[in-house]
Amino acid sequence: MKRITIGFIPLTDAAPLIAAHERGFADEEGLAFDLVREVSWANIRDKLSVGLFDAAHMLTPLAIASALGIGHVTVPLIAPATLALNGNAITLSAAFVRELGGALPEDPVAALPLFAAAIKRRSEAGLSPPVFAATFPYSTHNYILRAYFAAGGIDPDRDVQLVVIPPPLMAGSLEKGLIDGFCVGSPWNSVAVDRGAGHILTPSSALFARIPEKTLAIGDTLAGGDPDTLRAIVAATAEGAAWCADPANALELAAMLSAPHYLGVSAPLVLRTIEGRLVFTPGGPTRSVPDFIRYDVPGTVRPDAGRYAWLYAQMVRWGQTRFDPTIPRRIASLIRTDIYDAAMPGLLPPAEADPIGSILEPAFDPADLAGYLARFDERGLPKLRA
Amino acid sequence: MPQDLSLTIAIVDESRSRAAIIEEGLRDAGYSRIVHIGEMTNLLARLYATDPDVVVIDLENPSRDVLEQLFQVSRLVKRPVAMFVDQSDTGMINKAIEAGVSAYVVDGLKKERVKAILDMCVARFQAFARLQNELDQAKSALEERKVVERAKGLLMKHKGISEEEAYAQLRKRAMNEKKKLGEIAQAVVTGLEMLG
Repeated sequence: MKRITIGFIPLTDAAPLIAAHERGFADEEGLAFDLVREVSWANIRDKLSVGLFDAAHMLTPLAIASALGIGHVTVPLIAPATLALNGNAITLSAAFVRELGGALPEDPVAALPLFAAAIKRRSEAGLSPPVFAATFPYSTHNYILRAYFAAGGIDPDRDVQLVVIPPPLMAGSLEKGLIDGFCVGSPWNSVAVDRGAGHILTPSSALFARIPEKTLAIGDTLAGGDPDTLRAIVAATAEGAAWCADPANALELAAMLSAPHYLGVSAPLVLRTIEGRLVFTPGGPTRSVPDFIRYDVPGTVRPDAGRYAWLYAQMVRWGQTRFDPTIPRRIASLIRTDIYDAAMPGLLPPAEADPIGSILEPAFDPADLAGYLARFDERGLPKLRA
Repeated sequence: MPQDLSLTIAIVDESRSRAAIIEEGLRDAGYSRIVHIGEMTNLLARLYATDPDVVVIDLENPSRDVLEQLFQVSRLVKRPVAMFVDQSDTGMINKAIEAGVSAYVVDGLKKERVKAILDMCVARFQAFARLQNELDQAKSALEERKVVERAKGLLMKHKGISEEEAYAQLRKRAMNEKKKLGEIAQAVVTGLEMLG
């Protein structure tokens, strides 16, 4: 039995690793997953970096930035499996919903002019701009908020203020009026709604159909080790994800995740998020959100270079790094699809013309990153067509 | 060097007692500009107001991720910020992480100087962990004494025996069942309290 120490953050998308451990998929592969709950993404990165963790549940943009040495020291790692697609939502405080006019439209794009008007009113009254929180600078949450605002002509660095807040503190910060809204992963949006602190504006899956939210990051020591162990880790994770994706297991999965040493959030609430049944307003009806969070194999788990390239493009778009045309090649070697293919032979995902599928942007072509970036001005806002 | 001792050091820690222990160590080392931030809401604003040269933070504090944002917004603040790690310092990072502490420093600050500060903090974190451990042990010893007294009292009342006899019975059961005296006393208390 080979022990693999894996760090995770209490979020629904750690489920494939938790299921691999709890349902015996790791065991079947001759592995013992030792899951360690962490309090910050910085801890996850640093403990992976110094070898205290063999592997980790990691924000995909953080894994990319760490492996490429963007904004921080280089952390040698590989990312041979995606743990989940989507699972985020944008939530607004009750007070800010009133500021927008009292009721939120079902179409998130239709809310953008309301935001612009509210920002203008605040500015004219000499008030500070609204504050929105993401969970980390290198996070999908940061990029989703930015892309969403930019699509409405709102400059995310000037018209609003973006801050970082850890997921479990989001709802409290909203209640205290420290922030006006946030974008965070499941189940923390639903926690805010259940506490009466927030209204969900939109699930992220309504804006971007296929964002690779978290990645299985494997540190240097193991990544350079024997291929059998790497294959076994990916196989156990993929089996775990496939089990999570089966609707027949939703009830058991919710009960499993709700345990105090995993998420510590009520099972019925977790079940809602796994099944894509979201309550948008406190006390309101349940709305069905297909693909709110995806664990399916191979569509989710086999890492897609194009989706990872889109995340890299966001780092360039928002000034976190300068464009380097050699990066897509390095991303392709970072995701190591060879390990997935050895673990899950013959299971190839359907080809997608647009790996991301956004309603905010034209189809994304990973082969033309320069062309994609040329659509935005130096502030990251879409250039107006002549 | 006197200019080094004028560094402003922010200790971000929700534990008042640990922060006090670290602060004491830093003061002993000659640093006088030390600010303790114990409240995590609006951390970034508090840090801007403090404008520290070095930030020392407990690894169990989720607000580490908030500090990471300093990298991102450093172009907006007066001075750029970097984290005190680089590839050559793996051993040092390892030691700090094991002790449960991390430090962030302003760019351009002499690394050797910060290393001394972090070394001191690592030692202080370990000292705090030892103290905490001793305190926990003392507490549980006190709890045990309390529950043994309570069990003795209940046995005396229910069986009409003397204090010595009650204690002897507890000890005998503990030896027979190979359990701690406290555990046996707790079982006796639970059982007899139900009888009223």
